[in-house]
Formats: sequence, C-alpha cells, structure tokens
Amino acid sequence: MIDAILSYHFMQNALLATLLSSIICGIIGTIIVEKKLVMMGGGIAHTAYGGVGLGYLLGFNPIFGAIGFSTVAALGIGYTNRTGKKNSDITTALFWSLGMASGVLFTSLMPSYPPDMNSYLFGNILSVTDSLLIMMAILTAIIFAFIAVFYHDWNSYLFDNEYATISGMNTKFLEYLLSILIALSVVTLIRVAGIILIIALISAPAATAALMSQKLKNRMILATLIGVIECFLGLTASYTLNIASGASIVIIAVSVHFLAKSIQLLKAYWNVKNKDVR
Amino acid sequence: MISALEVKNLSVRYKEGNIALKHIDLTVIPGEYLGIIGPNGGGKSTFFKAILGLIPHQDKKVFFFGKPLEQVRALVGYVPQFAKIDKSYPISCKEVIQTGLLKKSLNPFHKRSKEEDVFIDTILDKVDLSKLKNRQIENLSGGEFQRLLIARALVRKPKLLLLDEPTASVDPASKDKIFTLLDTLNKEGMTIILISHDLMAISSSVKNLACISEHLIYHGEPTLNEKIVTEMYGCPVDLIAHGVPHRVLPAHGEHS
Repeated sequence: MIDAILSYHFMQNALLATLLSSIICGIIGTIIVEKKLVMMGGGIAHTAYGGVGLGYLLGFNPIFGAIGFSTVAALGIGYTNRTGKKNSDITTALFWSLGMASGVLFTSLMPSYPPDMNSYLFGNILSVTDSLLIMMAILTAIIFAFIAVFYHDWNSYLFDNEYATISGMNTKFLEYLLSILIALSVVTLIRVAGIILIIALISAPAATAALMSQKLKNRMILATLIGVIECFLGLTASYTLNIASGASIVIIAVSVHFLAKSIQLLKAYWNVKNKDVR
Repeated sequence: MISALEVKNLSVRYKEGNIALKHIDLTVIPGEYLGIIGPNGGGKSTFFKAILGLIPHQDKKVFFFGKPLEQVRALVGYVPQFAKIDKSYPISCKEVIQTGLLKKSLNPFHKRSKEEDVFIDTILDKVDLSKLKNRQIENLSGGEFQRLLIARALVRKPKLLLLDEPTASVDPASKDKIFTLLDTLNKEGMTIILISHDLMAISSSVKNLACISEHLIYHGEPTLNEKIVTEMYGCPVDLIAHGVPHRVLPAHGEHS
C-alpha cells in the first residue's frame, strides 16, 4: 500500500482526499449528530444528484451542479426547520426525492449515451483529480474557518438555541450558515463515499467519538482522527482487494461504530453486575 | 418610576389562527416578585415567549425599563424550562455559564477574561454549584441543572429575571433551594417574574400573583378568592388555607 502511495499520483490524491474528508466528518459530522440533523444531511446529499445530472446535461462540471442543488436544498430545509419544525421531515423527504428524480431525468434527456453515475452515487476516491482535490481543500478550509472562528457562538447555539436568540445572538445567520456548511460538506464528500453513502460517513465517526468523549471540541478532534483511520483502512481494502472504495470505507466506519457501541454496552452491563454482587 | 416591565394590550395568535393571549396589560414595578399562574395551555409560556420576541405579535408595546428589549437585553435574564433542553449535549457547567457571557450578535474568537472567570466562580458559588463546575450537564440532577440555568442568566447581571416553571420536575429539597435563592436575589433588589402551574409552590414565596388564562384575570396580592381561581381554571375550585398566610390551593376534590 505504501509503495502504491509513493508510486501512483492517483493514490496520493486519494490519500489527501481521505484526510480532507475526515476533517469534514469530524467537524460537521459532530454538529450534525449533536443537533440531530442526520436526515437533513441525507436529504441534502440526495438532492445533489439532480445537480450532477444537470451538469452532465448542460456540459459543465457536475460538482458545481451539486453545489447549487445541495445549497438550495439546505436553505429550503433550513428555512422549514426555523419556521415550522413539524414540516421539516416532509421538506427533507421532498427535496430527497426531487433531487434523485431530477438527476435521473436530466441524464435520460442527454442526447448521447448517459454517463456512468455510479462514482457519484457510491463514490470512487481513486478518481479524485488534482482540480477536485484543490476544490475539496478550499471547501474544507472554508468550513473549518467558519466553525473555528465562531466556535463559542456555535456551542451556545447548539446547546440552547432559544436562549441564544433571547441573548441577542444572530441565530438566524448561524442556522442558515450551518445549512450551507452541511451542503458544502456533502459536496466535498461526494467522491469519497458517494451520494447514497455520505450520510453514514458523516455520522459514523462522530457517533463513535460521542461514545468516547463528553466535550464538543474533543469529539470533533476524535471524530477527525477516527475518520482518518477508517478512510485509510477503507482505501487500503479498496486497493488491495479491488473493491469499491466508498462502500469499503462506509462498511469499516459503521462496523467500528457498532463495535464501540457493543463495548460500551458490555462495559455498562459489567459495571451493573459488579455493583449487584457487592 | 420606570417600570421593570410594561406590557400594553398584548395579543398573540398561533399560526393556526387560534388566540393564545388577548389584550394583556401588565405593569411590573422594580423590586417586585411576581408569580404568574394559570392552567396548562393558558398562555403563560407564550406570554414569556411573546415579550422576549420569540413569538411574533402585532403589538410592539412591550418595554423593559422603559425601552424595547433590543436596547436592554443585558438587563433581562431568562431561565427556560429545563426539560426542553437536551441534557445529553456535551457541555460542562462552566461552559454553560460561559454561553451566558456572549453579548454580541456574533462573537468571533471569543476568549474569557480573568475577571469573567472569577465572576463565573462567584456565580457558581451563589447557586451552590462550585464543586460541580467541571461536571458535564448530563450528570446533574434536575435541581442542579435548574440552578445552573439560573446561574447562566445571572452571569449577565440582570435587573429583571424571568423564570419559566423553575420548580417543575425537581424534588422538594431542590425546590426549597431554588425558592431560597430567588428570595435572596429579590431582597438584593432584583425584579423576579416566575411562571408556575403549581399554585401551592409559589403562593407563599411571591409578593404578587398574576393569573393568565388567555387574558389577564388577576394581578395583585397572592390572596385569591374562589371566584378568580374558578374563572382561571374554568371549573369550580375550593381554596384551602394551610396555616401559611397567602397559601391557597386549587383543590376541588384533588387533595386529601
């Protein structure tokens, strides 16, 4: 594996892409898990498919289409979240389906043979180009900067949104900004895990980190480290066994989470049992 | 004298069109300790949310110390119902109080000063939580968490403290601690308005009572007569004196 990384440019790109993705999963994933926005993330990811299809149909970079569609979905779902919680899951489901349907429609309208959409649906980290890597780096830097600069505002908003609003904090700005950051995260991760599997990659390392730490900042750092290890293992499995990279990364991430959860439950059971004996 | 809170003709409608509050006029003078009671769904929490700007209302006639809330936010402390806050969120007691220190609409690169650190310790001491300052909130009892939320409001040095059901779901010992703390704060000059559905819990603590059930039914000393309480709860109510001045019970067959 090390030889491959040193020898092949596409492997170097893949490795850098896993690092950038892990930072996103660590930061935004932790917020998504804490704020219980996992389904919103899923909705935004699937809406991006429409943008990819439009990009192919009109002949521009599908990633730009994905940015446009996922941002519109993020703002739409964010608006519903803010104005009427009851309807937010309906809006999420509608964007989810509309995005997938538009993607299928746009690609079927292409005069030439439709492109292979599998790398967008299930990810293909080995196909990350230099230009895509630069874009991923820029998006990761934007996301990191917004979270780091306003960290205490995020902490206050995530803990008690209502109190933050009464205190005079601009929670409307934070809410919409968070929606946009989730959309950008989704786009950054499309090539790594694919539209269908993204949500597992965003939430699994963060959920695993939540089992290990009780501090928000530590959870973000831990989730990033867990993400790096899981992505690297997935990449290695993909390269050596010649299997799909997105699927192998997600299977490892989810398995690690279930393993960690099982250990925690066993530990709790053991503690209760020991207490009873005493 | 400038009122701590002045509400003129406040009406609130829910999105579905139902009326939540109708023509509320309420003036609270500085130093008052007011308990707001009323039936479930009578609009008590909605009243707080409306005056604090969380629910839009047509009448922009709510003044705190003679000014709109936007101009005097630091003077108004708010303690929400703790049951509505997610206790699994990964945050320590000290960090919770720190969130109360954020005063601007956005606070980039916020860093606590040494003075703020000392003040946080003072406030934690005041609410008897100094030993738990590094504890995560999910490991606090209901009473401790409620006192922590009061501490978060106090860190801004407010002159008016609004509390929404501060003693709901806490044990009797914690309830006593909270009322003793509020009593001390009021004696120090802080105006306090608290909402409760528990007449018995607050009637012996507060100086004045207001009864809200869609509209303001009563505002005055906590010596309610049966007519007022019956109107408020919409059913016949017996009032029973329990040997404590001003203590009343809406009891109609529910006490033994």
